[in-house]
Amino acid sequence: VQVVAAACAIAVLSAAATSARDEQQLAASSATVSLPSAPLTEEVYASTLARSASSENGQAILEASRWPARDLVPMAQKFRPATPALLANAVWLHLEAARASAGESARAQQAAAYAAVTRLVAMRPAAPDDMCRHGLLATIAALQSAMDVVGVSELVTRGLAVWPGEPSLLLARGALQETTPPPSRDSRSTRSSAHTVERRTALETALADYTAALAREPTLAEARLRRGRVLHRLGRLDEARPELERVRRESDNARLQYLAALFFGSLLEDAKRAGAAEAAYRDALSRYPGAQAPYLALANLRLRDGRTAAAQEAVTAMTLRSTQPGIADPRWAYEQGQAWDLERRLAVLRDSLER
Amino acid sequence: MTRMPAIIVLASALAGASSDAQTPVFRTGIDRVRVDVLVTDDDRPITGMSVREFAIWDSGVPQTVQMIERGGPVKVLLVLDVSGSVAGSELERLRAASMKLLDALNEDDEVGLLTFSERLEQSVPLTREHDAIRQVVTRLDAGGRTALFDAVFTGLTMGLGESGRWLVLVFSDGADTASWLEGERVLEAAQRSSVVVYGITSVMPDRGPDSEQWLQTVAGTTGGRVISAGATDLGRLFVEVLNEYRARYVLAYTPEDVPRGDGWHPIKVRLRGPKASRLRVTARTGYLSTN
Repeated sequence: VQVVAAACAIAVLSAAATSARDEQQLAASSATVSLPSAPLTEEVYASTLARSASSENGQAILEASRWPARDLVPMAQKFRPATPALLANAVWLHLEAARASAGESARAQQAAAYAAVTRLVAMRPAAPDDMCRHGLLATIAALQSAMDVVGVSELVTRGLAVWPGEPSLLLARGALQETTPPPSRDSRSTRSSAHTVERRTALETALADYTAALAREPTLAEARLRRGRVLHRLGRLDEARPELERVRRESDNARLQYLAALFFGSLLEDAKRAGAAEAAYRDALSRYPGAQAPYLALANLRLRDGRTAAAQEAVTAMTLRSTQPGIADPRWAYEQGQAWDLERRLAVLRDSLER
Repeated sequence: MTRMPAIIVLASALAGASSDAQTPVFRTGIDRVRVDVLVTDDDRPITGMSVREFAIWDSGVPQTVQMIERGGPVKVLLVLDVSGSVAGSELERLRAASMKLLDALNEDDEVGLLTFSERLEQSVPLTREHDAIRQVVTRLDAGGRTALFDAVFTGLTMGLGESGRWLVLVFSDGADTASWLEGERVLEAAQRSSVVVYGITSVMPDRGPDSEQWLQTVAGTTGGRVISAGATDLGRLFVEVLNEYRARYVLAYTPEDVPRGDGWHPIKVRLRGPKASRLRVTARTGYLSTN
């Protein structure tokens, strides 16, 4: 059973290294592998890294995902690569292995990637600029997916010291401010004036980062989406509206369009435009039929409007679908910054390595 | 999967035939307010009281009380937190507790299961086939963040148009980290619903009491309560809640001499007669009357 499971996992991983994949499926596949861990020596590490740069990268990821967690960070710190590209390869390999792992093992792989990427960035200008930047952005996305606030914050700070005004780094810093620490939704603490001031300051800081990112890169749709959301949360509805409408209308990313429609609905609800809000929530649902937030939003809107049966209809529709495959809601990852973009960032990093 | 029957509350109220129409949001002159009432003597539920022993005030105005149900089958919606923090021994404890609750149900009781992490999943709609729930409970897995507010809102809304006695039993072990809805919005939903919410919490020391306090507010609004489990036998608490809910009286009244569609109406339920001074009455704190 273990051999079959391992073979399946290798096949999945091989495909995964070069093409789009479903993260959950991969985690499930790798979870079935329970082969014993091989000891991690410098020779093994170097040889696996070398193979990860070749067409055998799927096998390399599988092997790396089985390395003992306790050995990973020390190895990433002491490894002396012959070229910066090999170090960048280590970043890629650890991040891919993290995706193929779970729990402590995944966290150790991310920490090893962190150790490797900080060394890589420090090697500039010997290390190619693109390779460093893409390695950094991919690692940031991985740490965002793990909600590692401290790690993200440190990498963003390092990155902005090297590439001041880099829009993707400003976006990451803004997202940290916007979503961290997560606002307490407790009714008592959200009423406290200290809490309100603290949240407002964080939102205004995030707004400044999104505005600066857009000034450098006006087509950065996620920065526009988040800018719109933050303006709404700051009560600046008139300024928020065009930002959200523009993303909904112009973005070519279904996930961002969905979020823009959902947030636009929320804005319209706060503007006491129940009919338009309902239309926006329906629009969100049409863009991401597996999402749950639009159903909840519709139910809440209708309930507040006294339309009890219609509210229940929305909840029933959501619950009836809830066990079907494909239920996913991009909103679940909104507080994880650009974690959703990890796969693309890894592919870009890989491209830069292959060049 | 069996689709849960949708009950059109207003229609049944207009027909005057159903004694258990539940919505407390009034849009016509003939709607009735339904109030689940618990009477206890030193935390021990007291049964066998008659309608004459109850008095209800709506916004300070005395009302004519009817007893519409006492005893009888119940509908229990289990709303269980299966987020990542529950993984491991806590999930085992939760599975065992759910089994104990299922064992304590009567044949004609209905039970449903809604699990939540950031994702809400109605694994089994309301059913009298309790084994269907047992099968799902044994397979429960934990992972992800906690959308407690969304889950409680869903439970409240599912019960809005349902007939019969509807208990939402929520288990959670920590703070909300993933809901779309704000806690205050869910509280509003609780004010509109005549579902009774009970909570059983197992808050980890480092996660703070925020969500437990919120759940206490919601449960209190509906006439339920929250029990902190700690190291107590979770199954015993689940059964205790079920038995307490069974012992409740379902009273109703048609609002008289109070305005309609004017928002929040506080309700007071008191006992008449010699027992009044020593017995404690617990009921929903009011309802929202909207146009």
